[in-house]
Amino acid sequence: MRNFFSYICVGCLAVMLGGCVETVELDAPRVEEELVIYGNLHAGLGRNEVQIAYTQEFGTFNIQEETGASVFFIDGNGEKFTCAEEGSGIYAWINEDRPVRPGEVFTLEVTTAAGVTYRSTPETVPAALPIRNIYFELNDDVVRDQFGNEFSKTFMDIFVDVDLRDYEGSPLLRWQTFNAYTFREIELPTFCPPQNPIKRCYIDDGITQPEDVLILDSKDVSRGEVKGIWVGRKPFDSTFNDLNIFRVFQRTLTSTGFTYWENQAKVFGQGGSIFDSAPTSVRGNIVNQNDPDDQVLGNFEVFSADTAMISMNLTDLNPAIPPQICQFRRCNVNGPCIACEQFQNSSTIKPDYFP
Amino acid sequence: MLCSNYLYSQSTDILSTKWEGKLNYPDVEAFSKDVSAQSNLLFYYDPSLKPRKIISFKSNDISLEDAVTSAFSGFDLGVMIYRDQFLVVVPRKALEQIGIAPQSVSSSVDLGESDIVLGDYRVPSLADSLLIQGRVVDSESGKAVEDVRIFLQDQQRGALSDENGTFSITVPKGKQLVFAQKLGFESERVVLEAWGEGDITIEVSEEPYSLQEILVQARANDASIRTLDVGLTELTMSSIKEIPALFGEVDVVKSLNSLPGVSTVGEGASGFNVRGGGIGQNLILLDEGLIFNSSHALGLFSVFNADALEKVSLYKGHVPAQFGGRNSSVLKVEIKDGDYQNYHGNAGIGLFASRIQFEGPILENKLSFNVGARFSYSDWLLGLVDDFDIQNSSAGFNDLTSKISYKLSDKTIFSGSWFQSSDQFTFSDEFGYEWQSRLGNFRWRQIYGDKLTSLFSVGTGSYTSELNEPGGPEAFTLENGVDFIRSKLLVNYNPSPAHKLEFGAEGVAYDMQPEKVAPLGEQSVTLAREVDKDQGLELAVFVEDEIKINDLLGVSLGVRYSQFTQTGPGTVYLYEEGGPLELNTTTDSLLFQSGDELQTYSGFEPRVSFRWLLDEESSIKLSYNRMRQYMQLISNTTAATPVDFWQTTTRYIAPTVADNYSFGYYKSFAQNMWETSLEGYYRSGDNVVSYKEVPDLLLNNQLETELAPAESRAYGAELSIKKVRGKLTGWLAYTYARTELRTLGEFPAEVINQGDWFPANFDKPHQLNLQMALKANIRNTISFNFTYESGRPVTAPVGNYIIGEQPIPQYSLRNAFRIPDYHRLDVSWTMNNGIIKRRKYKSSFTFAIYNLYARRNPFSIFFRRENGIPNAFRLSVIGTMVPSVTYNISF
Repeated sequence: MRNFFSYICVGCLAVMLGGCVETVELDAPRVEEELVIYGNLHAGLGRNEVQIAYTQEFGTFNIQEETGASVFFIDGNGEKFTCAEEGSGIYAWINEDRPVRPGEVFTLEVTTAAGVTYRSTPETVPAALPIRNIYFELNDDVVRDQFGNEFSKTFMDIFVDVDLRDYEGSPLLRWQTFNAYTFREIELPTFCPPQNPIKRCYIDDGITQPEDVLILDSKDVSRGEVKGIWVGRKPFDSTFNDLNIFRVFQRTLTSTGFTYWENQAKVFGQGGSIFDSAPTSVRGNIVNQNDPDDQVLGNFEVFSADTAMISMNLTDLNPAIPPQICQFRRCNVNGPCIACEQFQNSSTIKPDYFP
Repeated sequence: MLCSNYLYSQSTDILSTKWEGKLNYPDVEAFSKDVSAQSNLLFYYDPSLKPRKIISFKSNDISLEDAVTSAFSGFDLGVMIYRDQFLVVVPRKALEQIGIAPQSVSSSVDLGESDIVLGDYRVPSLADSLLIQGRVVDSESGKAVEDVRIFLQDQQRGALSDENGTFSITVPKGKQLVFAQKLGFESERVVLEAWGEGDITIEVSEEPYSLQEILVQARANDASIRTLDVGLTELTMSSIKEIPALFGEVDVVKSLNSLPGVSTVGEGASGFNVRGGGIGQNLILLDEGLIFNSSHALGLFSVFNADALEKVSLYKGHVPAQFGGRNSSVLKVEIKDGDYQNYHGNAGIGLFASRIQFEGPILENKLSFNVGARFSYSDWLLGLVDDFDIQNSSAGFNDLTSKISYKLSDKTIFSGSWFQSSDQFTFSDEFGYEWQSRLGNFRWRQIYGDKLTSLFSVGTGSYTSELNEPGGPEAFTLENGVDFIRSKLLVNYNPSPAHKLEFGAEGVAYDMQPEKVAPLGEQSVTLAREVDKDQGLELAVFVEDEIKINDLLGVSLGVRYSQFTQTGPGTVYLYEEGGPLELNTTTDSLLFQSGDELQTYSGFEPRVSFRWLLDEESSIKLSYNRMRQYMQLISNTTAATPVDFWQTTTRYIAPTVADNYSFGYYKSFAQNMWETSLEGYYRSGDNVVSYKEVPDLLLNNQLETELAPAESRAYGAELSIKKVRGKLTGWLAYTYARTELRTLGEFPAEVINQGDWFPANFDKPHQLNLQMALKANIRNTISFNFTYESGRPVTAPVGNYIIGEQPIPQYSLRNAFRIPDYHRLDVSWTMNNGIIKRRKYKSSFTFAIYNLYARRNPFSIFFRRENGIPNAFRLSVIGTMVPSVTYNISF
C-alpha cells in the first residue's frame, strides 16, 4: 500500500513538471508586409535618427529598408530639418549647431519613395532627470540548462537611484543598459600563438532584452528618492576577466512615447499564461496623411536623456570570477584562438566612452 | 415501483389460464378491464411501455400472460403479481435483475383500508374529478422531496413534486391507489379515498441501495420531453461524483463542461462559457445569493462543496422570467436543508484537499443544520517539486457552506445560509493573488392553502481580490471588490395542474469597492491611491404563465421588466462632441453626490417557450429570451484573473442586450433507456464590452476610454445521446458552436480586425464529450470521460521588425489562428466498501487518472526571443497524466 501511495504522489508531482513550454513550428502564412517608421529626436546636440523599413517574415532579420524617402523634423515654427539618407533605411539629422531644447515642439514627416506622406503627432521635448547613483550587486540565482538541470549561477545586477524632486512635474522614464568589455590577446596560452601586433579588444554587448522594457510612470510613486531601480543583469562570467563597463541611458519620454513603450511592455510580457491578454502589434503616433486609419508601426520618440556608467576591473570584484578553462572568451583550448574582429560589435579602437 | 420490499407469490395459475376476453379491443383501457375481470387483479403497466393502438388476437387459445404481453409492442416483457393486488407488466430484463421469475400469482384485489380520506362520502363533491394538493416529505428528515412522480393506478394522470415537495393532481371521485416514486427512494403506495378536494402529505423513505432504480429513473426521464424548458440541465450530486476529476476533487462546475454547449477557455481557466457567452454572462446563484467568482485555485476547481448541495440546475436556453441580470445562462445551486431527525454526514480525504459535511437536527423536526467545509494543503506537493520557484510558491483554498432551516409549521419554513471561500496563490517572490467571497442569505418559504406558495429571500455578500507584487522598489498591493444586497419575492400560483403562474420582484444594490493600490513594504516607493468605483440599483418585476393547453401543447409566456440606475457619488467625464472617447478629448467632468442619479436604463425582457408533444416519447420545443445585463466583468485576458473587476453600466457603458433563440427536438427510445436530443440556438448581443488594443483597465477612472463598442453573435447545434439505465450509463454529446465579435467603432482605435467579425477567445467549433459509467457490480464502478475540442483561437506572431536594437514581433489579426485540437481521456474507479443498507457508515475509494494518455494539450502559442532568435512556443498547462486517490466516507 505504501508503494502504491508513493506512486500516486509521484504522479501528482509530475503535473507540476508537465505544465510545460515547448518550441513549436508555427505554420503561419506570411502576411502583407507593413511599413515601420521609428524616429528619435533628443534634447541637445548630436545625432537624431529615423529608421524606415518593412516588417519581415517571422524569425528572420533581413531588413527590407525603405530607400529614397524624404524625411524631416519640423519644429513648432514650421522650420524643417532634413534627415540625410545613410543607407540601410537609416535617415539622420546631426544637429551640431541647432540644439533641441526642452519645451520645443517637433513633428516627424516622412514621404516614401512611392509618394505617401506620414506625419506624427506634435511632440514636446521633455526635460531630463539626472541619475543620482549607479551601482551593482552580485546575486546568486537558480537557472536551468537546456537539459532541465538546475544549478546556481552568479549574476551582476545593475541598479540606479533617482530623485524625483530633481524634476518639475512627473517624469515618464525608460531605461536601457548596454554592456561593453575588453580582453587582451596577449594572454594567449603557449600553444595558441599570439596575434601580432598584440591588441586590446573592445566588445559592445547590449543586455537589455526585448521583454525587459524598463519604464516608470513617476505619478505612481511617491515624490522623493527612488532607490534600487533595476536596469540590467548579466551573468558573472569570463567577460569580467578584464575591464567591464555598463552604460545606462535614462530617457524622459513624452506621454505618447511612454504609452508606446508601456504597450510594448505589455505585449512583451506575454508569457503564454492563461492570464495574458491577446497580443497585438503596437502602433504609435505616426499616421498616413491621406488615410487616418493607416497608422504605421513604430513611433516618433522625442526625449531627453541622462546617462550613467559604471566600470569594474577584475580586481574590483569579490567574489572572484569562476575558474576558466580558457582565459579568453569563446577560445577553444584545443582549437584556434579567436581574433578580436571575429566578435560581433567588436573593435580594437577604444570607444570614446571607455575610461 | 419495483422495490426490494415487494412480496411475491409463487403461483402461476392465473397467468397460465386461458384468455377469456375478446379478440379485439379498441384501446388498452378496454383491454385492461377484461384483464382485471379475469384475474381479479388490478392491471398495471409501466407507462413507458407502449401499448398497441389496436389490441387483437387471432384466437382465444392463448394464456392470460400471452395476451397481456402481446398487447404491448416491441419489448421482451414479463408479467408479475405485486402485493397480491396487481398484475403488472414490465420488461423481462427488469424481473431478471431482481432475481424473480416473470410470473407470480395472487388472488386478492381489495385495496384495503384507506390511508387518507378527503371529504365525506355522505356529501360527496358534485364534480367527477377532484383537485388534490399534496406535499412529499422525507419520512426520516421531514424535508420536502422534489421530483417525486405521483401517479394514479390508471397511469393517465400524474404530477411531479416541485422544489417545495408540493404537487397538484386531479383524481376521480372515490377510492384509488396513488403511487409516489423517485430514484433512490422506496416507492410508496397510498390508498386515497377522495370525496372532496383537500391536502395530502406523502412520506417517502430514502433507499440506500436500490437494485430497481432503473425503472424509477425511466419515469423521471420523460420529464425532459414534457417540460417546457429548452436547454435545462439538472445535475444530481451522484451523477457529478461519477465523473473523473482532476486530483480526484469532485467538482460541480467542471462537471458542467462535459455537457453540450458548455466549455472553458482551457485547462486551469476559471468559470465556464455557455453557448457563446462570456464567463461574466452567467448568473451564478447559491441559495439565491450572487456568486461573482466560482473558482478556486485560479480555476482548477470550483467553490462548491458537492456534499453540502441539493441540486445544480443550468439554464442555457429558455431562462424563466424570475431570473435576469446576465445574458448567457443561469446556474442555480441549492444548499440542501439539514436533516430534521438524524445526524449524518460525508467526508473525503484527497492528496490535494479534504472535505467534510455534517447535518442533523438542532430541534427535532423543527430546526436543522447542514455545514460543509473544504480546505487544501497543496504546499507539501509544491515543496517536493524540483524547481526553485515552485518550491517557494504556495497555493491554498478553503470554503465553508452552511445552512440552518427552521420549520415553523408544515407550511412555513425559514432558512439561513452562509457561504465563504478564500484563496491565496503566491508564485515564488514574484507575485501573489488572494480572493474571497462571502455570502449570507435568509429565505422564508410560505405555503398558503392549496394553490399558492411564496419564497422571499434577502441576502448580502461581497467579493474581494488582491494582487501583490512584493519585489523591487515599486512593490505594491492592488485591491478591488464588490458588495451587494439582494432581495427577491417569488410567488407561485397554481390554479390547476395544467396552469402555473409565477410572479414576483427582485432588487439588487451594488456597491463597487474602490480600487486601491498601496505600497508593499517599507522600501516601496509606490504611491498609495484609490480610484472610486460606481454604485447602482437593479430592480425588476416579472411574471410568467405556464399553460398546458392540451395534452400535446404547452406554452410558457413570461416577461421581465428591469431597470438599472447608476447612483452617486460619482464623476461623469465629458468628451468632445462627435469625437472619440479618449483622455485627450476630455473636456469637463460632472460631480454627483451620494444618492444622485447618474444614469438610468430600463427595458422589457420577454421570455417565451412552446412545447409540442409529438407522442409519449418525443417532443419539440421552441423558446425566445431577451436578457439585459447591467453588470459587466471587465477582463481582457484569455482566462479571467481574480483581480478582474465588475463594472456597472454608466452613461458610456450601456447594458448588454442579448436575444436568445432556441430550438429542441427530444426523443427517447426503449422505454426511456435512451434519451436523445437535438438543440439549436442563435444569440445576438448588442452593446457588448470589448477593448481597444492593449487597454489600460486597472486604476482607471475613465474606463470608457479603453472600450470599443461591439456586437456579438453565437450559434450552434447540440446533439446528445444519453443512456440512463443499465450497467453502463452515460452520454455522448457533440456540439457545434461558433461565437464571434465585431467592433462598431467610428475611430481607428476602436476598431479591431478592420471591423470584421472575428472569433471570441472561447470559440471552439467542435466539441465532443463521451461520458460512461460502468457499474461492474455492487461494489465497483468504473467511469470514463473523453473530451475532444477544436483548438481555441489565438493571435500569433507572423512577422517581426526592429526598433532601435530591439526585435519586435508583428502579430496577426486578432484570433486569426487556432492552437492544435484538444483531447483527453480520464478514468476513475470507485470501490464501495460499505454497501450494507443498515451499516452506520459507508465508505469508498476513488482512484482516478486525469489525462490518461498524457497528452500535452497546447493551451497557448506565444513569442519569445531566445539567444537573439525569435521563436514560437506552445504552453501546456497540464501536460501529463495526473493520478489521484480519494477516500470518501458517509456516516
